[in-house]
Formats: sequence, C-alpha cells, structure tokens
Amino acid sequence: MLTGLDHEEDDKGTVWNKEARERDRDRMSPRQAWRAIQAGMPEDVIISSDIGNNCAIGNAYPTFEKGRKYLAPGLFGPCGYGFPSILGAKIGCPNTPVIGFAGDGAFGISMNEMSSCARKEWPAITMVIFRNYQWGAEKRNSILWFDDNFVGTELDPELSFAKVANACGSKGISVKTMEETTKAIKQSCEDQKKGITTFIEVILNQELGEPFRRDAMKKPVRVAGINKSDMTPQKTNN
Amino acid sequence: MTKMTTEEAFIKVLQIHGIENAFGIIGSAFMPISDLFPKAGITFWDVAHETNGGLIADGYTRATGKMSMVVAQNGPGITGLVTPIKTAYWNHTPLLLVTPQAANKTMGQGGFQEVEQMNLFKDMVCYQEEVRDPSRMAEVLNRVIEKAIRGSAPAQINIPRDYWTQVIDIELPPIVRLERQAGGVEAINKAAKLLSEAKFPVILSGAGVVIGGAIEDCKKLAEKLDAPVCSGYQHNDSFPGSHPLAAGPLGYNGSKAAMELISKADVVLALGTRLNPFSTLPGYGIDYWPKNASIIQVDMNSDRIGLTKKSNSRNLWRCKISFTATFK
Ligand SMILES: Cc1ncc(C[n+]2csc(CCOP(=O)(O)OP(=O)(O)O)c2C)c(N)n1
Ligand SMILES: [Mg+2]
Repeated sequence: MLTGLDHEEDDKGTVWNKEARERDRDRMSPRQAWRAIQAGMPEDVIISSDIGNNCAIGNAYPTFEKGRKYLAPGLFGPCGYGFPSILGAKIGCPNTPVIGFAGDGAFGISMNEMSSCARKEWPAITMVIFRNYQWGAEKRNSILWFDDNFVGTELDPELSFAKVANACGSKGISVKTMEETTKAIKQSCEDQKKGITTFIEVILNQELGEPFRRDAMKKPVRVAGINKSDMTPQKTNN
Repeated sequence: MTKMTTEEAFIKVLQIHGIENAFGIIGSAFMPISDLFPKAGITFWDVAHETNGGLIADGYTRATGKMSMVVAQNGPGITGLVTPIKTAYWNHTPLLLVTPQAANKTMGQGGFQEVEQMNLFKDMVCYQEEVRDPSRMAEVLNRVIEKAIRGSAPAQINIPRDYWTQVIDIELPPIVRLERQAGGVEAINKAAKLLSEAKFPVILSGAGVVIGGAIEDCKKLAEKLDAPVCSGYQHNDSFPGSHPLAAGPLGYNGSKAAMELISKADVVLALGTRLNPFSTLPGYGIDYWPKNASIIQVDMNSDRIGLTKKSNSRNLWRCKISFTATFK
C-alpha cells in the first residue's frame, strides 16, 4: 500500500511540501528513505522509533514476525526515546541486530549518550538520524494552523552528527541517496558484530507528513490584538 | 533470622528476583549498594544522563521481558527520571525505580539535594513505598518488585539515605508470584456467544499480547474465527506481519486496510489493549472506529475496561481475563 507513495501532500492553500521538493531536488523524501532503510534491514532486527514526523511516517512500514521487536515511544510521547531505548534493547539482546531511529531534533535531546555508549563495555548499535534541519512535526502545525509563522522550529544547519559520532569514538556517516542508505544500514549491522557503533545521518528534503493532532488543533483568531509597544521593561537592582 | 547490613539485604532481594542490570549515574546516596554490584553479578550501566538511563531500562525490558532497576542520586539525579518513568508507565513496562532520599535526620530543613520524591512520582508509578525502618529494607523492596510485575509498570522504593550501612537481623521475604486471572465463567460464555454469532469479527491486538507472550494464541484464535487482526497504534509487532490475516496497525499514519476492515466489524475482540485514543482516532479522514459493534475487551487492568470506548449499551460487556489462560 505504501510502496508506491513517494511524497507528502499539502493541505489546500498550503505549499510547503511542493516547495520543499523543488528546493532540494537532489535529496530523498522521508518515504524514499524509509524504503531504502527497509531494503537494508536484517531479519530478526529490533528497531526503536521516536516522536517526530519522519519516524511517524514510517510507523506503518515495519512488520515483524515476533514480539518485542518494535520499541516506539508510546503514549507519553517523549522526543528523545529512539536512541536510549535501542541501547537498552541491545544490552538485553547482545546478539540481535538493532537499529534506532530518531529525528534530528529528538536525537539532540538524547545525544549526550553518545559520550557513554562508545566505551568498550557497551554493545554496538546502529542509530539512524533523520536529518531535515527542523523540528518537523511541530513545524507542520505552524504551516497548517499558524500561517507559516515558524517560531522555534529551526535546527542548526551547521551541526554534523556524523562528525560528533566520530569525535566520540563511534563511526559516523552521512548518506544522501537511497543506494547509500541501504548500503550503510547493511554495513552497520555487520559492524555491530565487530563492536562498532554507527550513527547514520540520513540527509532528507524538508517534506512533512500528516500532523499528529488534527483532532486537537484549530486556527486561532485575534480578538484583543497583541502589540510590541505593550512590552514593559523589568526593573532590576543592577 | 540472619544478621546483615541494609545494603546486603537490598542486594539479596535483587538477586532473588534476578535483577542483573542497573542504570544510572553514580552518586553517594546509593554507593553502599553499587559497591556490592560487581560481587552480586549486577552490571551498573553508568549513563551520561539519568533521563536516558530510564529510557534505556525501558528499552531493555521491552526487548527482553526481564526487569531492571533505575537508580540515581537523591534530588537532581532523581528529578531527571520523571520523563522516562512516566514513559515506561504508558509502555506498561515493569521497572524498579530506586530513589535514595535526603537523610531523615535533616529532611524538611531544605538541605542539600532535598526534594519530595514520593510526591514527584505519585502519578508516574503503579506503586510506591518508602522504607520506614532499616529493618524493613528487604520486605519493602520485595513488595515493590512484586507490585511492578503485577501492575506491569514502574514501582518506586524511596530510601532515606541514612538507612544504609546499618546492621539488621531479618529473614529474607519469600517471592509471591500470582498467576494472572482468567475471565469469569459468565464473561467467557458471553464472549464465546458474541464471537460465534458474529458476522464480521475483527481482532485488535495490543501491547498486552506482546507482554503476555500471547501472539501464538492470538494467531490460533484469529485462524479459528477467520478474523482479520489489526494492531494497536505503535504495536506493529503484536501479530506476525506475514500472516494472511494481518491487517497492520491502526491509528496515526497507520494502515488504511486495517482501518477499513475494523470499520466493518460487528464484534471487536480487543486483546491486551486499553483502546487508547491514538489507536481509535480518525486517520486519513476515515472515522474507522465501529461505533455500533460489540466490544470484547481483554485487559489485565480492570480499571481500563470500557474507559475510552463503549459498545452499544445492550451489548456492553466487561471482563478481565488473561490472554493465555483464555485461549488454551
Ligand atoms: C520531550 C519532548 N519535547 C517536545 C515535544 C514536542 N514535539 C513533538 S514532535 C517534535 C518535533 C520532532 O522533530 P525531529 O525530532 O527533528 O523529527 P521530525 O519531525 O523533524 O522528523 C516536538 C518538538 C515532545 N514530544 N517531547
Ligand atoms: Mg527533524
């Protein structure tokens, strides 16, 4: 059902996804990345996921033959679940290939664990970071209900998670095509057997899928109006 | 009665329950026990942040079915555990939360690393208890572990840190493991009748099917009823994906096929699911929840039966049964 789908739709009156495709023509869409990832996943793999648009787009893709294989963040919905939970899975199942997934924002919340997990006592994992340079899931809400007013949705475009990974003593790579992605997933799972942890930064276009909470959102109206000139400076003792 | 220290008592109970892994950042408040970890066969996974430590523990248990413990320094170490403990709560993960507390001797004076740790986790765990006397260390720890298993959720033991390094004379408590309750006779008969008369029964399998080790049973039942199986939101691993009756996950970005199938059901057999809102909200503009179908809900926690979704009142039917006990 999903195999034919490549791109995310825009709601009537919005153009974000169309423009995102045109802006970065050479980059993969989230769905293309997911298909490339699936093509490289070993049998018997345990995967984790995170709260975020790219992870959520993938929610319907993975199927499993056994239980205890899919660790999604669940109903509390914390960003920053994908990386630590997959570390725990590997600690419990050291001989099973594992792949963690997180968006670049959510990964940032948990990335301090890069500084602990490369030590030789810790088992090796693969961690995929969906790099779209934005807190995408929330950004989709700004597009749909807040007229593209992007407050707090942009991430640092200069940051390289792959470089951070290398600096931590793990393997860090950055992939841009479907072919590279499939290859990197396969290689990293082989490398887990040799004790090598790989962080794969998957560079994506900025397309965004369905918002989480259509049910809970509505377009705000201005009633009293808000003016900058009403801002009152604080008094301090300095 | 045997003489031992409070930390020895603590470790011995961990050993009785086979708790082999602890996650946290080292701190003086629990050093008397971490000191014994290597001798006891317990690995201390020293993490970079407590919040990650708690989530690592959740991942460990969800992947293995085994319980682990999370521990941290009283105060700022413990406050870092709020997010992962509540996360584990809604993932139905049994987990031992060990919270060493500022010393009883000074508690309330606003001293170093002092915070109300029982209030902090009140809404995050299925059970919490503070050790009220050093001699009760083993008894309380044993109960807290049992409660986490029974409730399939985190449970907390709060320990005034001045209770360590005391000599006590105690008997180690016995393990009391309860078998999960099967449904009542009446409930099971009603369910059987509903299902045998159903024109289009659909099974909804949730986390409880994974946690309860009931995937095989669910498969057998689905084959017997020739009923398609939808999975709960984010529980794609609760039914074998290659099975011809597998329909895929419901909920946000889920499977359209699953949504269309369940919308046509006249009886929904909801196994190991609390029917959380994210598995039942409309998706792709399809309002798929079958409002007129009879719902048979199987959940280990009777408080969650009928909490979010009701069947038509004539057929409203409640039960509390365990997965394996029911299908065999
Ligand atoms: C701890 C926490 N903080 C904030 C949020 C709100 N939130 C939900 S999704 C999201 C954006 C996720 O962005 P990213 O991880 O980059 O993934 P993307 O949506 O871009 O794929 C945020 C901030 C949350 N769920 N959890
Ligand atoms: Mg992002």
